[in-house]
Amino acid sequence: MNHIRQTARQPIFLIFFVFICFSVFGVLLTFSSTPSAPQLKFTKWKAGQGQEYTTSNPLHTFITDTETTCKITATVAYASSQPSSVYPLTGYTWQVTGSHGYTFTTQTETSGPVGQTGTTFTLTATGTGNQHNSSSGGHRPMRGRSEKPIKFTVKFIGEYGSGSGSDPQTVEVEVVFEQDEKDQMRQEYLDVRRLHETHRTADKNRQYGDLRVPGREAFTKSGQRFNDGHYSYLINKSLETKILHWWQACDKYAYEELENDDLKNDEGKKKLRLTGGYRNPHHHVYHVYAGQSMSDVAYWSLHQFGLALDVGDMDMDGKNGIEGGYNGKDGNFMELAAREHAGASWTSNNYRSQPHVHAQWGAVRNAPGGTSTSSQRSTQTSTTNTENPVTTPPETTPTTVMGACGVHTIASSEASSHVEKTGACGDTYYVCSQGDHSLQASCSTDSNCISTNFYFCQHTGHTYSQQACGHTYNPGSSSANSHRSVTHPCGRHSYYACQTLSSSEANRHTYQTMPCGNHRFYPCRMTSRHKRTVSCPTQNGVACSYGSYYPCSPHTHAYPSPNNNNNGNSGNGNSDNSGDSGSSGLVTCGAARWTGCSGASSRTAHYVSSCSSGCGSGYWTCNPSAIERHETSHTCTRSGCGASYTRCTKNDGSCSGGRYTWHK
Amino acid sequence: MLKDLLSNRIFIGILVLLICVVVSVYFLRPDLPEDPIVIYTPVAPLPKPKAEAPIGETERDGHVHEDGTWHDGSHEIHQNPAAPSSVQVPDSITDPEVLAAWQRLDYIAKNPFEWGGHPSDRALELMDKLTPMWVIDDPHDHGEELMMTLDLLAEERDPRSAALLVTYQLDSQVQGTPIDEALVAMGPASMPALIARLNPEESREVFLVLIIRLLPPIVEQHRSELGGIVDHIIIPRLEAIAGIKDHQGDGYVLANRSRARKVLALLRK
Repeated sequence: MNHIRQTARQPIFLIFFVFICFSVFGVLLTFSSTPSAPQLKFTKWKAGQGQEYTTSNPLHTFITDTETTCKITATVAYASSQPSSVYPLTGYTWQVTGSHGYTFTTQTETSGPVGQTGTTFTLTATGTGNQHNSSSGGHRPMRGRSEKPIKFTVKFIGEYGSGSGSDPQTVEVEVVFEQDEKDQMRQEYLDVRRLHETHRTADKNRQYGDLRVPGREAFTKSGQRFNDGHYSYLINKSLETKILHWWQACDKYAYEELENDDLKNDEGKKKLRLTGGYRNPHHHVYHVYAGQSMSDVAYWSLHQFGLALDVGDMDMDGKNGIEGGYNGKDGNFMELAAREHAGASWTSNNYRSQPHVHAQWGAVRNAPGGTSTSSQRSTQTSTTNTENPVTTPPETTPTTVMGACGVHTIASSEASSHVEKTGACGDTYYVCSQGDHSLQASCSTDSNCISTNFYFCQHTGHTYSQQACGHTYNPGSSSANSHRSVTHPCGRHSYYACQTLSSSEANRHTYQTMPCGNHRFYPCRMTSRHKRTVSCPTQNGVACSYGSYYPCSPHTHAYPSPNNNNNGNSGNGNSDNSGDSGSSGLVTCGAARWTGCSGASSRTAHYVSSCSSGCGSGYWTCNPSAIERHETSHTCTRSGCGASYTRCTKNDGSCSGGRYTWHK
Repeated sequence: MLKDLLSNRIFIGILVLLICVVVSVYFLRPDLPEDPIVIYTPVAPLPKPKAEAPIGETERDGHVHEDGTWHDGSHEIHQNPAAPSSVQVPDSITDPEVLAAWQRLDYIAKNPFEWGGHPSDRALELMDKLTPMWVIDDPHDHGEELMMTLDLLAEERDPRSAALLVTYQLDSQVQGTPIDEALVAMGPASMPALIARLNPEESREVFLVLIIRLLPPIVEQHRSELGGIVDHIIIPRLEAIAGIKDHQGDGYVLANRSRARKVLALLRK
């Protein structure tokens, strides 16, 4: 510390310190007076048929003008709040890049001198890109443009300079246009128009016009069970109401007119199999129709507008099974039910993958989302004067128009009955088709459903209580099978089919050899006898020569004789060692010369009987050669075998009734 | 020099050998031209094409004749469905009121525009397009084009199209509410076509409900103009349909019978 103070007192150090302070101050002063880069911002931007977005409405999604062209306009201006001193722009460039092969030619415009704040810079870019592809070729997923949204990046690069001859600096602002999911769907309506032009006759194209592009508001997520397309959105023109009324009509019709009550008590609802609802155009054209001109007008199908349903034929009259298909009886009954009670305009019996009834609400030419010169239907004025029939239609003012709901032809006085409203469940509906917003249903017939009463507009499926496997599902449905209880081969344990077994759990139920090496069965049934070794007990202070063993294995404890050295008979024969060995009460067991046989409690204490030996022959455990023959394990060297065996058995160690099996 | 060459035996030998090889190769070629084989077969005269009406299920843009030939497009000989029609009055009628009812029906058939509507060239064009009846044999086809064409025809409200519309409603793979609306809007002018198909004998084969259900709204609006048609033609036919006892479990019979009974109750009021 003292050293530092002394250093600070040095005059040279003080001068150096003052010099540094002045230098830093000078630099800061210099920089504080240097102008900054100008602040710029996009004020308006628009791509294709998207909205003109502004800073207060900053969405960037869009659809192109045609399948392969898209016009972009954008305006950049100086930000209203700028630093106190900025460099004016001395020049600028625009860059427009795009995905899906889009390249742009640009026209630019300025409203005043480039360097003057208040000047705006406007870009008009005309882009040309690739046609959509159908590379998915009839396979799912069926989404246009390789499932990638079209994306454009518009960049404004302003140049400014210090004026001192240094290189100009640049300031950039950019806006990115990228289609959201709704506009990806809407783009498909635009993209498939080319197919209409090339596959249809000019007469057809003139007659039916372009496929309409629905507005963004038409796409919702409600009613997913009607979604036969490949997006998370769909157009749902009250399909829930339509299917509900259709089912109820089939039930009523079967009971009242066909003397069949099989469809009562919700049975009809269960049997009414929905096979088709909303389809996005790419799916409709390439998957359903495989891009072929199967039917000219099919390209304008109302399935693409949420105004058509396909339902599998069911046995309406309860007789002769399902008579569907071409003008089939059951199909005809269902068609009439759809028209009389569910408001369908047109129906047909069809086969495709199975007999089904197609119902659509409206005519193809009245598909919503566009104008149609023939959407107005005139009604004839009755007259009784036929003396001079006219040869040309009289000029009549249409008295009815297609309602906003797109379903009904209505008189103008009925307009209030066809207005759009927002229901209690949050989604919008037309008054004329408010069924699913006013109809309540309950799950009383399904004891496992924990939903109580619900509005159909908010109903996307029944909720079920948790089942034993931990999942929620309808136990009465076919999905129950995938949650069933399954018994392992061990016969003792079970699991649920919906569970994915861990490898250890699977191993636990695989038949295999236990650690003892003598037994095979399922590890889940293994006891400690097979997997844990125990030590031989000591006897009279003498440890067993085995050391340790598996309790499940045949074993005999062998104790070295304390008198081993005193019985000095080293002959090779089996001498009779019977008789007491002394005052200890221990006797010689087996041959006196065998190590470990003396000092046993009895003369046969170390004898392993023929049935316990595992090979059919008895032996003395104090006989080293017998041990070698009966207990020493060898590995089979036969090719591909590798099993263990003993010389006495050469088998698998099992013994039953004195018979054994040779090692295989 | 040439003389030397020709006198050289070796050269002469080689030359002869070479010539032999070339000649052998030429004659051993597999594609040697052979004398053409001419086969004369007696030719039977071709059968003359028969301009017969197409058989069975005829496609809208062409059809197969009985002799197997393909005819692109429709025959001109198809009778235009809009041709002036009349009603075949049954011979056995003795009751004067019944006879009058049939005569009234015949009058309506011959004067279809008396209750509205106008002759439409567009309707004739569409009717021609729809004749013979379209068959949707493509399993992927929901019949949108047929629906579309029928929708346009129904919109014309030309009474001459009533019979064709009834035929499509009953016998084709599609059903359309616009057809119902058109037939009801035509009023009495659609009656000849409806009654022609209101045939009790067809109750087992045809889903007559589709036309039975149209009778009340027409009768309600035009009862007086229909005269005795309701009481002496329509009601007796409905009674016959409603009275079928031995339905043998047939769905059509049950449905037709049930609807006929309901409509009878309405018409008798």
